[in-house]
Amino acid sequence: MAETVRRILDTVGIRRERFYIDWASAAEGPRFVKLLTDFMERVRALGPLGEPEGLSPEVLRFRLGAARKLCENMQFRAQYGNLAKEIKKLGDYSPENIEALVEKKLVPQIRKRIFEAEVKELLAKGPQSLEALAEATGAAEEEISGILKSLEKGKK
Amino acid sequence: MGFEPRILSFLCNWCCYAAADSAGVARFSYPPNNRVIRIMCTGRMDPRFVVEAFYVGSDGVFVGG
Repeated sequence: MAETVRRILDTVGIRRERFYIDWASAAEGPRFVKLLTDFMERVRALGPLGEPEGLSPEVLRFRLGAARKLCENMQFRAQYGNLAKEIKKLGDYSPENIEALVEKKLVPQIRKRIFEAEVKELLAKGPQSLEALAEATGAAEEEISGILKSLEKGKK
Repeated sequence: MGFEPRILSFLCNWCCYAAADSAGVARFSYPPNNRVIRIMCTGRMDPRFVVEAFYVGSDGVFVGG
């Protein structure tokens, strides 16, 4: 879950430090206070959402909207579930293993689906150049042209 | 006036939520700019929750198990 979230944030362009997961047992009140205070200080140092990332509220909303669609997509959710099953079968829960598997299986899907949703929305407003699309989505131009080709194919 | 981040935290009913409760009972002070959503288990977390949290404008998301 955590690694998938980090990859989604990377794709959207949000600093991954804004997401934090940690553990404190029911008896560890002071530890919980420390975790939360430290995290809050780190977020305070980063500044408001979008500011250190150089993303305007509109761009942020647009990109997170695409990420939201990704998370609701049934095919993606199935892939996400299958990967969890696969990790369970391997029995290797080390961060390195999870990172490698997410990188291999989910990252291409995350990037493709988020950028595709963004491209579709931008093109619905009117024709756009490849450079403008790449800049608005934060994707590489090759990725965009690949998506355009597959969209073209889907139309025929 | 400095920037006050808005943090959304998802706390597990059995671990961090109870820890937050005990911290309150013991009168430890911790930052007030934290909003808590209680979940019954950290396993309930879904990437969708985090994306939604950022979509509605949180500056940070904390998951406590």
